[in-house]
Amino acid sequence: MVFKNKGEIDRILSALGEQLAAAKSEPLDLLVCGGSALHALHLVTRTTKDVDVVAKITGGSGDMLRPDPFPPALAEAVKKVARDFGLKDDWFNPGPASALDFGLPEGVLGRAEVVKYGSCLTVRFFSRYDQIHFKLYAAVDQGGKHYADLLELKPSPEELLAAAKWSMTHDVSEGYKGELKRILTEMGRQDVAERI
Amino acid sequence: MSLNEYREQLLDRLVNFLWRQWSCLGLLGESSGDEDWVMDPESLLVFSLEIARCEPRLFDEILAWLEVNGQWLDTTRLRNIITLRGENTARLIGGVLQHLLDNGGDARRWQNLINLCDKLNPGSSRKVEALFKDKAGQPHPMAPKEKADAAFLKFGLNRPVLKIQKAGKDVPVNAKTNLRFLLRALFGVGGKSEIVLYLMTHEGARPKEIADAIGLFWLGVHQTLLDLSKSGLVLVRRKGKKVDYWLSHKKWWEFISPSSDESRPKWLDWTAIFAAFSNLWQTVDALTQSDASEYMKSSRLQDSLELVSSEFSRAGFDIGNPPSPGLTSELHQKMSLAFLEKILGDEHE
Repeated sequence: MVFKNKGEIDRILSALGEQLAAAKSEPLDLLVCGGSALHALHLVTRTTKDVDVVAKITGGSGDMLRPDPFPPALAEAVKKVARDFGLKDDWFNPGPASALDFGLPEGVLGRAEVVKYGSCLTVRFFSRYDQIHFKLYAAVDQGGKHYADLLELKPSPEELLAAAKWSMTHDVSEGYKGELKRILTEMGRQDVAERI
Repeated sequence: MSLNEYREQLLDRLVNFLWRQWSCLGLLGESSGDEDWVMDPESLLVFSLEIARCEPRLFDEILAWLEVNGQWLDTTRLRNIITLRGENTARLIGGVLQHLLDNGGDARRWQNLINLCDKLNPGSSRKVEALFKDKAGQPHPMAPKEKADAAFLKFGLNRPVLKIQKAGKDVPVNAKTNLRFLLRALFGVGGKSEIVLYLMTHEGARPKEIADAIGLFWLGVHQTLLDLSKSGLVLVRRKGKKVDYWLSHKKWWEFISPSSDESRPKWLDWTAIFAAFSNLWQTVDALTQSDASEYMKSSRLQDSLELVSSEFSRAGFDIGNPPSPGLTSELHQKMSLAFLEKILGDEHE
């Protein structure tokens, strides 16, 4: 099964929230990026197969921690939802957790769209602005669907510039900078490429 | 189909299955002879009493059977099952054993178990509830205190005074479903007959493996195996540090029952299987009173069905997979009943 729209993502995440509540899990507050977050904000039309968890939010101050490995109650709930809806086993995964090691865009939590799925699961979906940051970095690195997503987000020059500067903190190599400039130029944003 | 209807249909199937098992043990003097597995009276008793709270006739027939055949039960295995299952089981078994004791039962046999049941479910924590429920799960009316059965009341269960109308029948001892009883008659109730039964239905095993399967403590099983091996009829096979015990099926089956291989009964881990059925029953019973979403109800039902399926698979019975999840709850329930019919061998229309 793949997620085609926000309704399907909400249905599956509601099921996950119910499983966590049934297992009497501690409340979990997770920051999510990727295709599912794009759907949650109605920003793209393509399908996606998974939900990428970037960080676990703890305490009232909103500290962000790596979400991996998932706590046993969450891992078990993910497995049950996969079984019940015919999803792949890692449909809910901490794949992009390493991004946290280099830092997320400043103010990411404040911009995130917060959705509560029952009493045990809160999901914060990346805002459009932060998706542009991640998608630009991924487009330089991998191209393909990430480049297509980036185009669909229709970033402004200022948004692209902020994203480019942030992405260079994740990869400080000259090789990356050169590739970044090439991608920006291909997008018709030579003006931005010249400013980095 | 509503979940209440599903619950009632599941109950019907479980009750019919249990009647068939007890018939093999001589209840009602019948024996269908259709089953091809070895009965486990301790596990059967514990699960039957749980389900028979909704089938008083079966409950009282089992009590009558116990009055006549109670000496065949292995109290150590029963103790281990009660301990494993916890307070609700302890409460129910406590009432039953107290009834047996109050009606001329052997105090040396039952008193320690009654004490265990009391300990697992102490009087101070008991609120009296009706023992029996109707098929829809509604409790029977409480009997007035002077007409309530004192043995059950002691364990917080209210039922009218029990009068056994017809004495139970002796268990038919045979080398098929009741092979366990035959071996208990031969070797006495206890580890020896359990171990021989296990070895007669398996190619051989380590002491720990046997102990886990028969529900007895492994050190005792180890010692009994050492004793049995001195007879020269239970044999030892060494592979490095691994020691397997085994016996010659040919010789033993010729002695116990000179019949063909096909009619030999199979071993099943009834303790695990009945625990899985109990989990299924309790899940469905709880879901009928739960305000969980349709999704959660289906998901929890699926958990229980998978447990039943895995226990039968572990026992070497191919019963297929339970219905796929992701169906509508009505279709899921309908297909799960069809799946259970394969296991319970029910003949419902």
